[in-house]
Amino acid sequence: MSLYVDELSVRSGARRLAGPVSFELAQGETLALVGASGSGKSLTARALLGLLPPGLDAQGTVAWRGAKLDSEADFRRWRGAQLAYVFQDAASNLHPLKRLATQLHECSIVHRPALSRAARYEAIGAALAAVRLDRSLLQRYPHELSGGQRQRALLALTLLPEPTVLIADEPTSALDATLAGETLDLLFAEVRRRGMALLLITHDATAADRCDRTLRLDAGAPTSLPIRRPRALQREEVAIESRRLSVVHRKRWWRQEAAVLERVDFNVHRGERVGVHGESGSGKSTLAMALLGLKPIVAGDVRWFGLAIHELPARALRRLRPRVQMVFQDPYRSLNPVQRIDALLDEARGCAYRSSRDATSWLMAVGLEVDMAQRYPSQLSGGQRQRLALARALATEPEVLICDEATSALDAANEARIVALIDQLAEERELSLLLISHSAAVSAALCDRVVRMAGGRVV
Amino acid sequence: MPASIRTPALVLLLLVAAAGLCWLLWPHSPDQPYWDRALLAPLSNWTHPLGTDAIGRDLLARVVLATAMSIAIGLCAGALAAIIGLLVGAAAGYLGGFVDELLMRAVDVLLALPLLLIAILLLAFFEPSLWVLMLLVGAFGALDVARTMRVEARRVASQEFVLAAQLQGHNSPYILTRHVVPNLRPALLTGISVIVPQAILVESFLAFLGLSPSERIGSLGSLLAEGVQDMAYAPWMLVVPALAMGTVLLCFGLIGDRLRDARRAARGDEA
Repeated sequence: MSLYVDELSVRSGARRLAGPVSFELAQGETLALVGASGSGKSLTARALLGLLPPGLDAQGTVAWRGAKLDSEADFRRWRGAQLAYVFQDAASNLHPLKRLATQLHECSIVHRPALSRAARYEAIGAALAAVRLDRSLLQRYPHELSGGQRQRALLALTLLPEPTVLIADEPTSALDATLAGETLDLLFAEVRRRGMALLLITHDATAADRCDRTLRLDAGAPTSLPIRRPRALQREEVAIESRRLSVVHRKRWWRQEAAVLERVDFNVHRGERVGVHGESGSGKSTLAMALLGLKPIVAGDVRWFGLAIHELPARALRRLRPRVQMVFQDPYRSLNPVQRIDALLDEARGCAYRSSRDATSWLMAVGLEVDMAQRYPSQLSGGQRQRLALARALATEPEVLICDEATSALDAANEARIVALIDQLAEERELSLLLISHSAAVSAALCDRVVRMAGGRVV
Repeated sequence: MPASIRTPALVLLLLVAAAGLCWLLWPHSPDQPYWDRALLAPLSNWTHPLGTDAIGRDLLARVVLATAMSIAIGLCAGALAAIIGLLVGAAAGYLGGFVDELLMRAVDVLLALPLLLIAILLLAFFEPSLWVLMLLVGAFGALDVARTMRVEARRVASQEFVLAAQLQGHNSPYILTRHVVPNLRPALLTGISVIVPQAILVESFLAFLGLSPSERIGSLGSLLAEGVQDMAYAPWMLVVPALAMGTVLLCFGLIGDRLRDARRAARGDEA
C-alpha cells in the first residue's frame, strides 16, 4: 500500500467544501476521481499534497507508506519527489520567462542533487522521450510551444524526479479532443511502464473508464429536482394580471426606444404557480418589473387583486406593495451590505399588513441559524444569502411571490435546496407564484403551468 | 478607524490640542507685541522658543493658533461641502431622470466658473469675513463631492436591494436615507478628505494675497505672507509656518489616500 486517505474533507471555517472521501491507492493502481464541477475534486487533490489555498483547512488523514502526513515539512519531503501533481493548466504552471531546458534542469537539481552532469542530461533526455517531445524544443520558452507540447512538457517536468504517485488534475481539459486523447495515451503508457500509481481527476467518462477504479465525489445533496404534479385550482380569483401590457425601453427621459413588451396578456390566479420561460432578451424580467409596477408602461394595465395599480394614488400603491414580493437573481446585490440581518428582517416585518413572525423564526423558517441575526450579509455564502432574500420577501406576508431566476446563480445542490424551500413555504402560505427561469427542471418542480415568451410577447 | 490612518489623525489632533493649551497656558498672546524683543531668532531666548516677528510677537503662539485656525477652516468647509454634496449627489443619483439632469447641469455650470477669481472679487468688494470665505470654499468643494456622490448613488441604486425596499412600500426619502446614503459613507469620507486640504490651500492662498480676514489670529496663509516680507533677515518666520502647513496638508493627504485604499480593498472583497 502506498497512499492511504481516510475521511479527508476540506473546510472553510464551518463550511464543508469537499469530501469527506476515503480511499487507498496501491502501487501500480489507477483511480479516477470524478464528480460535478464544484464537488471539490481539485480541492481534495490539493489537500492530499498540502497545497490548499490559505483560509481552507483539511481534516482527516493522509498517510504515505504508513506515515501520516500532517505538517508542511512532511509534505515538502514527498511533494514533487514521490507524490507528483500535474496541473490542469500547463500555460500558467510553466515558468514563462525560462527556457524549457532551464526548467527541467532546475527540477532535476532540486530533486536529484547527486546525479552527475552526464546522468542528468540523460535523465532529461529520457523524460522528454517518454512524453515524445523533440530535444530541439528544449531551447524554447513556454509561449513558443503549442498547447499539447506545453502539457507534455509539464508532464516531463513532473516525471523527472521519478515519482511513485502521480496526481493529475484534469490534465487534458484545456486541450482539444484529439490532443487530449494523445496526451492521455501517453500518460497511461508512462504510468504502466514505471509502475506508478495514478489518481486522475476528470469529468470525462471515457478517461475515467480507463482507470482501474472510479471514485465519485458529490456535494452530498440531491441534485436532481422532483417534478410537481399540476393541481386543479381551488379558487378562480386572479391575484395578479396584465392586460394588453406594452412597455418600451427608454434610455434617456427625452428619448423613446424599442418596444420590450407588446400587448402581453398574462395572469396568475390565487394559489396558482406559473412559470415563465423564454430566451434572454425575450422580456421575462421586464414583465416581472412591469407587473410589480417598477417599470413605466405605455399601454394596457396591471391589476393586483383586481385593482389597476397605475390608477392608484402613490400612497395606496405603497400600502399594497408588501402583498406582492420578489426574490432577485443575484443574492450579492439584493441585500444591503451595511444592514444587519436582524434589521433587514425587522424592516420587512414592519411593512407586513398583518402581523408577521419575528426575525428569529424567519431565520429558522428558511433554514438559517438563529445566531446569524447579528451578522451582515457579506458574512454569508451565496446559498445562505438567497435564503435570507427569500425570508425577507416572505416576512411582509405577501400573497404573490415573484422569483426572477432566483436559483440560477447557485450551484446544483443549493438550487435543489432553495427550490424545495420555495415549494414548502409556498405550500404553507398558499402563495401565488410567478417563477421566471431558464431551467425547465426548476419550473417543472415548482409550477402548475408554464408560459413561454419570445420577442416581448407571450406565445 | 482603519489602523493606517491613526498616525496622521493623531498628529492633527495633537496640533489642535496644542492650540488649546497654548491659548490657556502660554504666557504670550499671539497678538501681544514686545517692542524690545523684535526679531529674535528661534532657540536664542527661552521665553520665545521659536523666536519673534518684526514687532516682537511670539512666533510659537502665532503658528500654533494659526495652524488650528487653518485646520478649523478646512474642516468647516469640508463639512459644508459634504452636506451639500451628499444631498445634491444622492438625490440626483437615486432619483435620476429630470432631477438628475437639472442638478448635474447646474453643477456643471458652477464648475465652469473659476473659484479663485470669484473668491477674489467677492472678498475685494465686500467686507472680508471668515464665514463668507468658508461658505465659498465649501460650496465649491460641494460641486466635486456632488459629482462623486451621484456616481456612487447610481451604483448603489442599481442594486436590487433598493428595488426590494421599494417593493416593501417605502417612499423615496426613506429609501434614500436608510438604504442609499449609508452605502455612500466610504465614498463620502474619501471625498471630504480631498476637500479639506484643498480648502486649507485656497484659504491660505487668499490670505497670502491679503484677501483673507486675518483678524487677531490669522491663518497659516497670513503668517506665510508676513514671512515672505521678512524672509531676507528673518527666514524662520517663513520656515516655521511653512513646516506647519506642510505637516497639516501631509496628514490630510495621507488620511485621504488610506481611506481610498481601504475602500478599494473593501470593494475588491465584495467582488
